[in-house]
Amino acid sequence: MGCEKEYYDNLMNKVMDGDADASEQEQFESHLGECAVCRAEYEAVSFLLDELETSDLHAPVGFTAAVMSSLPYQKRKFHLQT
Amino acid sequence: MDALIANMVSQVKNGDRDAYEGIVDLFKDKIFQLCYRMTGNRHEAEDLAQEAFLRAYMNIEKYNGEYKFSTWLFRIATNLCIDRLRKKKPDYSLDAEVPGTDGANMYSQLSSKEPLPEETITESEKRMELQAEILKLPEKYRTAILLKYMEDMSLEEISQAMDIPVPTVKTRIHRGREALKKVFQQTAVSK
Repeated sequence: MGCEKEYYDNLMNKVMDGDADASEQEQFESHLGECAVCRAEYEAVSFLLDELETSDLHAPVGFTAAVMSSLPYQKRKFHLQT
Repeated sequence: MDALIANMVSQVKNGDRDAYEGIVDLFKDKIFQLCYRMTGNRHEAEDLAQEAFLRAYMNIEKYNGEYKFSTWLFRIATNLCIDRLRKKKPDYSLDAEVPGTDGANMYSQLSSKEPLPEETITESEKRMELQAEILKLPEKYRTAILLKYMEDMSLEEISQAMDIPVPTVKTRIHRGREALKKVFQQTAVSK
């Protein structure tokens, strides 16, 4: 049974990478219908990754101004020589 | 967009300091988000993101257009985050006081910008949970997962940003997902 678990883990990776062909995709989906363990894992990881994809945190207010004020004024040598 | 960025970069290279403002504005949310997901602390993320932009500015001559500017910037930011994480071994708690905030903890930090009370709870809880799971990943898997899913980078771009071969990127993403599964199972058991 260990081998079978490894087989479906690989298949799940293929599906999540978007590398599975139509028949592998189908095989994986039918397996999810039968195997509660794989289904729970797949749903949990998909949920987390979806959350990550849709998260939209923003830099704090005033961030750009803070960066700009941290930059040195004269960076290039020819400016210093004039 | 790429042409616009290339144009701003060459202006900065030519000594136009103000042109850098456009670059910061364009990437600040992405870089902040990456630093936050890497460290789990807003103040630290802000500090690291600022440092990343400063370093990029100081080293902009070294950017040669070989790959996307954003990839180069992400590389600087992830390296800074990893350095920081290694210096202070991760030992953080959600209840821990955030330094320099006068008693604020991570919960209050995260919920402080949410307007509606009911949404505040669910949204920030969801975010905390996700963040907690992400922080449990070893940093090399964490970086690969964040760049892939949060920044939507291709395997090729991640390989350039992390300076590792594409097959290694793939392995790290797989291992990262495996680790997330395990984390999830443990969380489910402990509930």
